[in-house]
Amino acid sequence: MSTRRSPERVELLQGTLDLLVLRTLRFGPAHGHAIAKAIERGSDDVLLVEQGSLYPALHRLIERGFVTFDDGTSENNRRAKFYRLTPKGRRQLDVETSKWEALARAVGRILRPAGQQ
Amino acid sequence: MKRARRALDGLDDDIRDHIESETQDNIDRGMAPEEARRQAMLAFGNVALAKEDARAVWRWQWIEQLVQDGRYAVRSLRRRPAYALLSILTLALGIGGTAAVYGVARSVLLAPLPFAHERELGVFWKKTDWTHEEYLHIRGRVPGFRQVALFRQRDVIVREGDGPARLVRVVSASAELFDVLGAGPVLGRGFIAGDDVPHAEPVAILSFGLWQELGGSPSVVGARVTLDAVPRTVVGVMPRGFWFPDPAVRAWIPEPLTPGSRNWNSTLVGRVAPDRDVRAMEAEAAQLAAMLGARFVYAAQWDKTRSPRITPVRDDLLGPMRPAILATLAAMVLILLIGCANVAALVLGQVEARATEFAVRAALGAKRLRLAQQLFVEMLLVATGAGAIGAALAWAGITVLSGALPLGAWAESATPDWRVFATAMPIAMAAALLVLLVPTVSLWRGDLRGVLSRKRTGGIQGRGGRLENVLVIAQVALAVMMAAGATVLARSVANLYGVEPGVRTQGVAVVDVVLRGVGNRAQQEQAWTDLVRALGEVPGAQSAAAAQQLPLRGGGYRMGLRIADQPGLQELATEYRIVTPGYLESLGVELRQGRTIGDGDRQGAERAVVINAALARKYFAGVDPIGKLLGGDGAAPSRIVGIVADAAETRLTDAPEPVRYVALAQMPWIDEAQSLVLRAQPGIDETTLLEPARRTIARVAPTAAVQQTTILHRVHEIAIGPARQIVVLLSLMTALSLVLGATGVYGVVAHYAVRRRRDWAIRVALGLPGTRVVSRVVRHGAVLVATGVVAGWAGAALLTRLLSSFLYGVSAVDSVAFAAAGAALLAVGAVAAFVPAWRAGMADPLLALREE
Repeated sequence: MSTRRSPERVELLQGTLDLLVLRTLRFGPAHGHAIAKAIERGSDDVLLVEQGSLYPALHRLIERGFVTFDDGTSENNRRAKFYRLTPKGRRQLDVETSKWEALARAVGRILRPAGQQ
Repeated sequence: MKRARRALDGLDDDIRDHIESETQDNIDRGMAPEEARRQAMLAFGNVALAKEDARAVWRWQWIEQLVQDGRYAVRSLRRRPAYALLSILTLALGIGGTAAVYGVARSVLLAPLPFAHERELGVFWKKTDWTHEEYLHIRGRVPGFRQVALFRQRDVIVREGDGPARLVRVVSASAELFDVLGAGPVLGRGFIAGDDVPHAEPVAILSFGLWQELGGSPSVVGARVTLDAVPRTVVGVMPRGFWFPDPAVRAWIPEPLTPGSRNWNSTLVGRVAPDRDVRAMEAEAAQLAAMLGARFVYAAQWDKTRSPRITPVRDDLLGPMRPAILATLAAMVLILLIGCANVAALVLGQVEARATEFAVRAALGAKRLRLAQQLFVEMLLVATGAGAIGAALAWAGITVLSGALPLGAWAESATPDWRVFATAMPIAMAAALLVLLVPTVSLWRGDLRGVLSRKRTGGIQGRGGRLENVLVIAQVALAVMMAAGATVLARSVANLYGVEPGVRTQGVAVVDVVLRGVGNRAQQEQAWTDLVRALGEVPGAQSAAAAQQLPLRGGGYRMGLRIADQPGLQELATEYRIVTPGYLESLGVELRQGRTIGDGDRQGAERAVVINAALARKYFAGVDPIGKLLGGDGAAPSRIVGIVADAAETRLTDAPEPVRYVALAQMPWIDEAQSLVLRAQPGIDETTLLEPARRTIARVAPTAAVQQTTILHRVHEIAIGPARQIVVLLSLMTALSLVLGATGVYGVVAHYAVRRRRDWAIRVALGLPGTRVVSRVVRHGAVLVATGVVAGWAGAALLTRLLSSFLYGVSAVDSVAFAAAGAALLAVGAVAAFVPAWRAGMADPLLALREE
């Protein structure tokens, strides 16, 4: 997740970051930096995400009630928030994931019709 | 919103931690610490933007909800235009009125006085009653005071070129005045020591307003201005907004302090020593009184050693206006409260009418808080509208009020400005919150889901409405307070009008004229005689005459009295009026015996005096006074030639005092200021004489200055006092409060009737006479109104005390006024209750049953 622009890296589609955050939190509570690292590693460094944009996304999710947080202490011994999924967020993740899969399949079919393969 | 605060709290820490972690990772990957941090910052991107975006998430939510509620409120108000309009106008009236009176109060009562540290300034007892001799005796050694200044107000003639002479009000003061007041000029200098010694070079300090009128040039300092035919050097100009002792004063000149001068005409104002409190100067004042008592001998009437007192300057200058303004403000607040109660009842009715809607929405998951929030936004819209209209009303109202309230020279300082909006809006918001209190409580307590089930089963829902009842009781109580206050005041004014002034106040035009620099006494007498004769020939005038002081104005000469074989009267000063022939006839003072002052009473003839009935009663009991000699006025004894009825020569409400009338032509001196009176011919409006009289004066005596033109009727009204002015205001406001109160009673009773329509319909269908229903509903209304009346009486007893300084011949807790106020409300309430009652009782029961 660095800002170096290279042809093999893609920018995120609108709204996808929220989904990725939800997905990351599925494995348990994490603080901001850990979430960013997880997304970065999970996508094999292909996705281009400005780490700062993670925070507005987190607040958006809190506002909608998908994510909540606890105050804790980070490994740097700082006051930091540990974000975790709410039950509502878990449901939302399922919905969004299947939506995403359907969309990806549909777009994939159009871009690469079966006959061409 | 709490969630937002909690989420945003610690955002900074979070981000800092994030960057540190990233830096640490980079170092672990083998980067140099500095490069590691740089890369971490790059990866994170714009920190400020990230924070801003995170905050925006929450901001939007709030605004979005507000916009949504606002849109909903607009829609729901538009669906009920009558309700919306009624609420807005009702509130606007109260808001506008309150903001207007507050605007006046702020510019007159609350504005800081244009003196430094006004809390240190005090005015001495016996205003306008101090002499130069007394002042020079105590000057510089008044206990407890840093400095004390002497001043008096005078009217001086200013004439520019050939223009008409005009009078301006000036203050003539000792040199300390501006030091005492702690005010400095904007141009030039203030007074300096030596300005106030006799024969000092005459100087003048102009007010900002007069300076502007004279051209506003900075070179005015050093220029000459002629006041009373005395050329004076302008040495300074006071800043804009400075006034003392009232805004009508246009210039300040030094008073030449003459040792031994015993003219009782000045006032003392002082600044207390740094360690003293002007409100606690009793001991010092008593000390000063003792100093005076040791040096001077006082007659009992003007004994300065009695009840010495220092009044704080604010109380002294503004105190007389305070009760009038506060009473009006209280009345306006009452109207606002009545209006709020009205609107609250309306909203309550709306909430109940929309109970089904609310219940459905609650069942669908809307939270009560959200429902309350929507009511709140709706009310906020109403209040904003009402506030805007109210501010416009206040804008117009301030001008009306400053004319209608007894503000004197301060009338012009109350002008509308942008602050009416700054006042109206908070009042509107406070009113909205007050209004919302009631329906919110009802929403909170009400069982919303129950409404749905009850609606379906119908039947008896006759309970409830208790809040509404409380509202209408409160409203009636407030209206009773208003009505009682206004009635007490009206009765007092009626009493004052009932006091016989002893003159015929209708049909007399009055011109107050000052004539200076005419020459010797004989020339002065000739000038006045010419003027009076010329005025008598004004078309429409029956007669004209002059007097040094008119009745009903108070404050004329008082002279010692000496009567042969009645020793000891010398010290007793009695009222003394110097008049021209025909004066008593022109005023319509009734002649009881003998004759009045005539043309034959001139220089050389024996001095004549006309006495009033009070003097005859007091000093000539059982004796015929005609032909007796009176002395003691410092001139030759005069013979009593006639007795007239008592005219109100002092204050209107004082008991008749002994008065002497003597001929101007037989006085050793002639006053430069006289009131000229013109009796109009029958059927002629005296006001039409004023302009011709003014022209005649300008023609006959070009150097004469007209101080004011008025009519005797107006003088009488002024004598009746400020109560007359505010009684008009209060009566209007009472009428308004009665209308609002009636609307409230009507609304609540109607609602009561509607709620019980079904049960009554059933009973009427089963044979209950409709009239019984009518009487039940009316009784319900009557009980509410009666309860309100009793509560209102209690409130009124407290409120009318504010008015006590205006009252004459009537107690602040006047039973007649209170009974009248109660009766008025009962009558209005009964009518207001009868209309919906009739409708409920006489309706076709089948129609009512089929509804729903």
